[in-house]
Amino acid sequence: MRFSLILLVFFVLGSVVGYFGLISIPSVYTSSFEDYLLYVLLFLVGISVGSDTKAIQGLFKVNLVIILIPIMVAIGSIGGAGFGSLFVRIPDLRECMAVGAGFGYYSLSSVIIGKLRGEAIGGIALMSNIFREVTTLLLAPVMCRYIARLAPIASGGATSMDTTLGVIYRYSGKDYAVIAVINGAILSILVPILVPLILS
Amino acid sequence: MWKLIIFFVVGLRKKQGIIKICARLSEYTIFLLLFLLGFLMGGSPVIKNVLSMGIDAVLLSVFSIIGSILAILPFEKRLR
Repeated sequence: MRFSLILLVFFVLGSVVGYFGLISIPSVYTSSFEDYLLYVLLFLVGISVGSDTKAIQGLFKVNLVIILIPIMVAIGSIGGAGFGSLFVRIPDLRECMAVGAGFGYYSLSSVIIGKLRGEAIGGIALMSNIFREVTTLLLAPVMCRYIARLAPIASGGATSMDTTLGVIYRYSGKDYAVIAVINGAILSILVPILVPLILS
Repeated sequence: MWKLIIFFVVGLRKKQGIIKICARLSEYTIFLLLFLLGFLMGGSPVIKNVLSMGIDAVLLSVFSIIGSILAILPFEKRLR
């Protein structure tokens, strides 16, 4: 939660600086700088995912049903956001689906979407995926009680392996923690692949 | 900058060190990228529509959550 707040502070700080024109940087420079930063970030994310041996080994040990869960979460999330495009003011269906393909991984998805389709939809992706994480943290007990014990894992998406793992462990149970980690690992790998694919 | 390079070289000795350095570096990169995203957004006319953007964001989030929960419901019984 603290990390989410720090991210929001940086985003709001950038917005204030940009709005009042406190720093004037030609957009050509910011754009190319953003490109290089994004390459560095993707490289670092690749190292982090690749070096997480527990999650990678876990993928080969579990049965097919557990592997299918993140795939279904991905399909449901993208499909849900696609359906949601009927109720929002974003004319492009693919942009809405790309927001859904963030799976709560707001830092990476918002930056990729912002880079590919502009800062407006990037901002929406950031807010939408932060809201997804906060909703999971707040509503996990309700989801477990009235819907299903898998519901917080689906709702948490990529965050089910880190920030929302605590509430999943507590309310869904110890057995579901392994599923949550595998679900989060697979969805985290899928974000940098699916988002550009949907927008291409 | 020099501190960072020294930490990286020291970190190379241990794999765990590399992972920690990468995690820290990716945090800083994300901070910078989000600052830039905000900066570009703040400087463009888009900022005037921030309230309607927020509503759209919440709606998309709710539909994504509902979609993903509905998609995994058939698996709940199998896991029991």
